[in-house]
Parts: sequence; structure tokens; C-alpha cells
Amino acid sequence: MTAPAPDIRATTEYPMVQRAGLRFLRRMAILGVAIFAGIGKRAYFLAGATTALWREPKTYLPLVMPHMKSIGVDSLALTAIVAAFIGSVIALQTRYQLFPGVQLSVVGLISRQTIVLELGPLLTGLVLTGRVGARMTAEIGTMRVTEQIDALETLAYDPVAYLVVPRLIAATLMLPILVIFANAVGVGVAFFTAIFATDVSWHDFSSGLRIAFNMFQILYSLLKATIFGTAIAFFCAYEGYVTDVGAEGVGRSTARAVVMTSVAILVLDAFIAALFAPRLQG
Amino acid sequence: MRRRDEVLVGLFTTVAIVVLALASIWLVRGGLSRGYLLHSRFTWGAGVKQGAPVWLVGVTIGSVDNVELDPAGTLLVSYRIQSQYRVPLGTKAAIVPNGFFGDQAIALTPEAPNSRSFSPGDTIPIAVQGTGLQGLMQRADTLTAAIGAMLGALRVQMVDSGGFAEIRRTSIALNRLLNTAHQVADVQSRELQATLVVLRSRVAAVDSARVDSAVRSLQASAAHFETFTTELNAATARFNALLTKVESGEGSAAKLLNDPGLYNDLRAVAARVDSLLADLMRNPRKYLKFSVF
Repeated sequence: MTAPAPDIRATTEYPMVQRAGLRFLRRMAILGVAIFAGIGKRAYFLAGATTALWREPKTYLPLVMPHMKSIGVDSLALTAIVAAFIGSVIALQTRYQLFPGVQLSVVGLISRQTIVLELGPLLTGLVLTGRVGARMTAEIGTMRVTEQIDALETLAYDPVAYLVVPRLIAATLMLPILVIFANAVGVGVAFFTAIFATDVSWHDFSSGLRIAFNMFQILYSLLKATIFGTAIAFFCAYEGYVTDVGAEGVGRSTARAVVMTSVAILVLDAFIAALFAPRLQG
Repeated sequence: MRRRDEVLVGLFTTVAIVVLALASIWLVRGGLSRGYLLHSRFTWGAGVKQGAPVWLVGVTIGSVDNVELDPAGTLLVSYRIQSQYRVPLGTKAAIVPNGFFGDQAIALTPEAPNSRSFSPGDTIPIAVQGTGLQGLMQRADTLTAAIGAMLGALRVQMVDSGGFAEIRRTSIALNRLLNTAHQVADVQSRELQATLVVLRSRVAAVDSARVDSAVRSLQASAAHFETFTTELNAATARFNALLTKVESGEGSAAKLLNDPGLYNDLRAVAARVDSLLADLMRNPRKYLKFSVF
């Protein structure tokens, strides 16, 4: 005995208000499915990368060093320039927003906290998303559309181990190193700006730098950098890996990678701050 | 190429680690020089943080190295004092405000000059707290309380005792008075305007030609009077010159007036004329002889 067939009617047979509701629900369902499918695909991709990390060290280890150089050493100048200008602006803005009566050592304190806790890691992450992430997506995407990835599989190479894992390791290791430089350059330039361009003295700034400092602030900055580095490599490599056919697909993937990674960095930044902010108090 | 990458990445990482280590050491300890530690136990230390400055008679000589809550309920604060400074015995430590945002500093104040100093690891006794900004804030509290009391008294006078109602009544009465004054002023203004209108009509009625001729007559009279005055002045001048001449004794008139002999002669003549007249009155026949034939 078979179950009775469900009452299936075309949407056009429903009254107009119900029809609009049905269309809306259908679109929401499609969107929800797409979101969860995207998360699932990325989870599979991450699982593949983790598996390759354990199983294929011989494949990716020789490639890590060139990527570390490409991501870290080659990005140093850009990172330093951005950090220098940010440090300078923070010192100037902080000094001239203080109302009379506030001790000038506050300039050092605010400069240090702003650069080390927030802008150093965040701006380095965003800058590297543009410089390194976009390049990563374009490289892997071009290999996808020119079927070089298929060729790797044909040659019994794991393409994830060969293309993704070295970049993931290099970005994860190099971002904290770059952030150390960014923090040092940012605070240093803030220091010189405050001394030479405002009435803040060397003693004011240096005593402000040391107020309410604890080592966890440095660790927090490096933790953020590590997470941002991983996020950059992961999202950008994934977008390149799943690029559609054609040059247009590469361009679209690159743009999507930059946008998604930037948003992901900001979301992660807020999440990490919510988790660790209470421990940052000096 | 690969070797070069390895060297570059290695150099990059090493420099970063060195920068991180030096910066952290400097931020935590104020430099590579170790200095020495001193301690104090405070009963209250809100806002005291690692890195807060330590002042000896106002000079920064170190920073707070550690803040630890003792299980006994006191706050153990350790200071790292720079090696070149010594803290004299008899010094008291106090937590003082450093600015307006709750930052604190440690103030070390010697009670008297002393050549002996605390040894590393010693505990500096604490002073009575509540000076500086805290004292100022207490004064502000006192002032606020005084203002509060004043406002309370004002409320009793103005609200409870009906002061505001009285002011309101006075205001209403004043308003009425002003309205009355305004009405009076309106009436006066209207009357003044009417008077002005009448005056303008009177002024308009005056014949300007007659006024003109009268003015001209007045001008002619004034001219004549001026001439008369000039002549009078000339006559007065001449008379003055004459008088001067008389007073100086020049001329016959002056001699006539100034000669005492003539006066005496005239007196003698007058006396003789008197005697002559008296004699004539007594004996008229002596002098008058009428004969018809």
C-alpha cells in the first residue's frame, strides 16, 4: 500500500499574498543552503589541508621557505610604511585631542595600546590581504583554469599539499613576525612624532609607554596576527582553488577573496577582542 | 635561490625576535639595567599599576615593578629603583594621583635629610594618604555639600515658604503697573502729538515775509546800535584823555581845577560877596540910590 501523494500545486495557483510568501521562503531556503554549503565546502577544504599537513610533509616543506620570503620579507617595506604613518597620525591626533590638564604621558600610553593591541595586527592583516592574499588567489586560480591542478593530480601530487599548505604555514608564521615590525615601527614613529612635532617630551612619552603594560598585550597582538595570517592564507587559497573557468573567474575569485578575507579579519578581530579584552588591563 | 630565501627569512625572523625581546624588556623593566627593588605595603591602592612612576621628592627614580595582593589583605607594591638613586632612611611612601584619569604614582618623601639609605629589598613605610588631588577632591566634596545645604535653604525659603508664589504675585502686580504706565504713556503720547500738530499749524500760519522784514529791521537797528556804540566809545576815549590831561595838570582847565590859591581866592570872594549881600540887605540905601530927577 503506497502513501497518498502530497498535495503539490504550482506556486501560481496560490493567492497572491501566499505566493509572495512562498517565493520569499524559497529564496531564503536557497540562501541558507548556499551559506551552509559554503561553510561545508570550506570545512572540507580545511580538513583536506590538515590531512595534507600530516601526511605530505615531503611535498610542502621544501616550498614553505620561498613562500615565507614572499609573504614576510617582501612585505616588510609596505608593512613598515603603513605602520609608520599610522603611528605618526595616532601620536598627533592623541596629542591634540587632549584637553588642558591631562598629563602628556597619556600620548605614549594611547599610542602603544592603539598600535600594539589593534592597528598593528589589523592593518598588517588588511594590507597583506591585498598584497599577498590577492596574489595567492590569482596564482592558484590561474593554475585551476589552466588545468595545472589537474595535472598535479595526474602526477600523483596532492594539490592541496603542494599549493595550499605551504602558503598556509608561511602566512601563519610570517604575520606575527611582520606585526612585531609593524608594532615597533608604529610605536617608534609615534615616539619621534610626539617628541619632534608636539610638546610631548621624551620622558612623558616613554613613561606613558610603560604605564599599565603587561606581556599579555604583546602575546595578544601576536595571537591576532597568527589568526589573521591563517585566515588570509585559508580564504584566499580556497577562493583560488575553487575558481570558475576563464580569466573572468580568476578576477571574480580574487575580488571575492579580498572582500571575504577583509570581512573575516574584522569579524575575527571583534571576536578575539571580546574573548581577551578583560585580560588586557594593565 | 633557495639558500638566499632561507638566509633572508632567518635574518628577518631573528631581527623580529630581537626587537620583540628588547621592546618587551624595556616596557616591563625600563631598560636593560636592573636597578634594585624596594617594597611597600599599602592598605589601599586603587589604580596602582605596573610601570607607574616612582617619585623621590618629585624626581622620577624608578617605576612600579609589581603589584601583588597579599593574602593578609594588604597590597604589596614593588618598585624598581634605578641604580644611581638612593632612597634616604626615614622616607615615607604614598600613593598619589597622577593626572585626572585615575592613574597613580608612588611618591617617596624623606622626613629629613639623611645620609643613610634603604638597602635593596627593604620595605619603605607608608605615609598618611590623601594629599594632592585627593585632598582637592575632598575640598570639592565639602564645597558641593555647602552648595547642597544652600540650595536646601533656598528651597525652604522659595518653595516651602511660598517665596516663588510671592515673586510671581509681585511679578503680576508689576506687570499690571507697567500696563497702566503704558496706557498713560499712550495717552500722553497722543496729546503730545496733537500739540505738535497745532504747533506746526501755528508755525505754518506765520507770514515769512513779515518775519523777514522784521529780521532785517532788527539787523539795521543792530547796525545803528553798533555805530552808536563805536561813537560812544570814541567819546569815552576822548573824555578819558581829557580827564588824564586834567589830572596831569596841563592846560588852563587843569590849572583851574588843581590851583588851591584860586580856590582860596574864590572862598574869599564868596565870603566878601556874603558880607556885601548882608550889608546890602541891612543898608540897601547905602548902595541903591534912585533918583527920578
